Amino acid sequence: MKESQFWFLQLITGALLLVLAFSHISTFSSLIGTGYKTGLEYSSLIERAKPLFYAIFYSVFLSVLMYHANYGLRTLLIEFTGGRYKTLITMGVFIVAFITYLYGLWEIIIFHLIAGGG
Amino acid sequence: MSTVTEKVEVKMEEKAVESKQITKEIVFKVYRFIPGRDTEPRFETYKVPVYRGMTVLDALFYIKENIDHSLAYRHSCRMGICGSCGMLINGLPRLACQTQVLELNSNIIEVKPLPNYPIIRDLATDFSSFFSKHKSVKPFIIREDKEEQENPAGEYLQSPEELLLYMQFSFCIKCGLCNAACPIMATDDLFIGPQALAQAYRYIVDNRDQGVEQRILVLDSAHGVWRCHFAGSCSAVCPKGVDPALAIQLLKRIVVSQSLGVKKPKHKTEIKPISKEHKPNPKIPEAPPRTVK
Amino acid sequence: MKEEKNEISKNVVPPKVVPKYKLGLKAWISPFKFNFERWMYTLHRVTAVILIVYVYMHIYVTSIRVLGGETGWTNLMNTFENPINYTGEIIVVAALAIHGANGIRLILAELGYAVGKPIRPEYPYKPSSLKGAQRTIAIILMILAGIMILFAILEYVPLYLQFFRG
Repeated sequence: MKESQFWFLQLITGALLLVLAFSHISTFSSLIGTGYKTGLEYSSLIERAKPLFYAIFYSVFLSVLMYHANYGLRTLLIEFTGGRYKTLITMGVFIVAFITYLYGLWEIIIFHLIAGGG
Repeated sequence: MSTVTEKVEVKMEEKAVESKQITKEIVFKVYRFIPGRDTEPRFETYKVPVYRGMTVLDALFYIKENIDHSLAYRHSCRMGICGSCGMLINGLPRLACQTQVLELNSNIIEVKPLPNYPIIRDLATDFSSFFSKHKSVKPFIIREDKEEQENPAGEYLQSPEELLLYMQFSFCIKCGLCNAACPIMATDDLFIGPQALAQAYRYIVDNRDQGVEQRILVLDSAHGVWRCHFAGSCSAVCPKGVDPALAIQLLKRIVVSQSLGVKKPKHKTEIKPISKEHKPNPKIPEAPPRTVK
Repeated sequence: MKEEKNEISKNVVPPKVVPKYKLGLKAWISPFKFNFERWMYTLHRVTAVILIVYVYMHIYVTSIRVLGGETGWTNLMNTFENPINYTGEIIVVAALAIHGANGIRLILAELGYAVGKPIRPEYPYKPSSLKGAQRTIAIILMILAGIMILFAILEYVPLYLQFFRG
């Protein structure tokens, strides 16, 4: 895949993240969601994690976020080190990102199952 | 009549003297580094008497002629068209011949060499990587019709609208101020730079050029067009209004639509050489026969 | 003679001791004297770094609800109830708002829209990319981001008051 295709995906994931991240934050706001104090209690976490929609939403959110953030991290590192270590940085960022991504996915699914979802 | 012209001449001379009236003395802090003698760069201060209309280049002439003969700097046309005298004057990359000393509104003027270029001596920097990056985008018209090139039958047609698509970017004087102002050039050595990218766009969008594929390899790489993040400083410091930032953003559209396989509306017209329909003017004598085989 | 003319730089010998000529990180974070878009670039980079650090931290910290159960989670939330934490969270929301707003503008500008057209340069040269629609769009987006930050601050004000009074 060419650099321009990676970059175009960055734009698409950025636009998607606007919607996803905003809805994630607004679940803790008093206007739209449950409010800060009540939204962060363990009981309300369990309640929100029951529906299947929770698992799907957060898996999609995590995937999109991991791509966008790590492409950005790779860009910052490549530009900072003067472009000499491009392949090394790409591989390193990919490994760290993949491990974090798998960990995050596992954690979402396990919590969904703990909360009693299907 | 001669007395009238004499009076006019005297008046003009008085005006010249009046305009060159020394208004004040300004301190110039100039970056000095002489290889072989200095191990690290230093700043030297010079007091220069300044008149209205004096440019920084005039001040450097004064310093070199009267105070310190060892100051080295590049200059040529002293009128903003050759692009030799680019320097970092009071924090911004500017052409020394185009910067009025009094317009800077400061009693201390700091003159440093252009950043992001290796320093040869004092205010002169090495432009060899600048030129090699420019060469790497193939800054010339590429055409595929070999027979037409060898034996031209007519002209390539270009309407004024097609000319306007790239004309602004052809005014580049290769002064290097844009590369000095770019924040990505400050950390990334291999980035080809706003000047080369703007020239690549100038040739791609020219309707006489057929070489998009040959340039895309350099442009679509990790150090090509994608290292630009539209900070716009290149356009802000360009002394000729070339606006490389605009060229790069329009170039990104071309590169992305090419790589995604999106069909773009053709901005090129068919090249039609004017040939057989042309009626020669009977008053103009015929051209002599070709001497070059 | 022709070969000598093209190889200008070979006659110029760069000094063995070359002083530092690249501006480095300073060019990324100090946009003083430069144009509006350069300030937006700096903000975009700074907020990106804040968000990357926060996101990685967030993924690992919230996993305590699986690893530590209810007690672990409640203890963690109790340690987070201090004004320093509230300020940090406001900063993260502000970073997200600014980064997102500038991102919308970059999506438009980097695809070649809202940056103006090539013109015939006339003195004083005001570049059309810095004058075009993208600058007004940027200001509108920054105002929207400011409104979102205001909402975030309003959200936290009762929490601050609760900490300092209750």
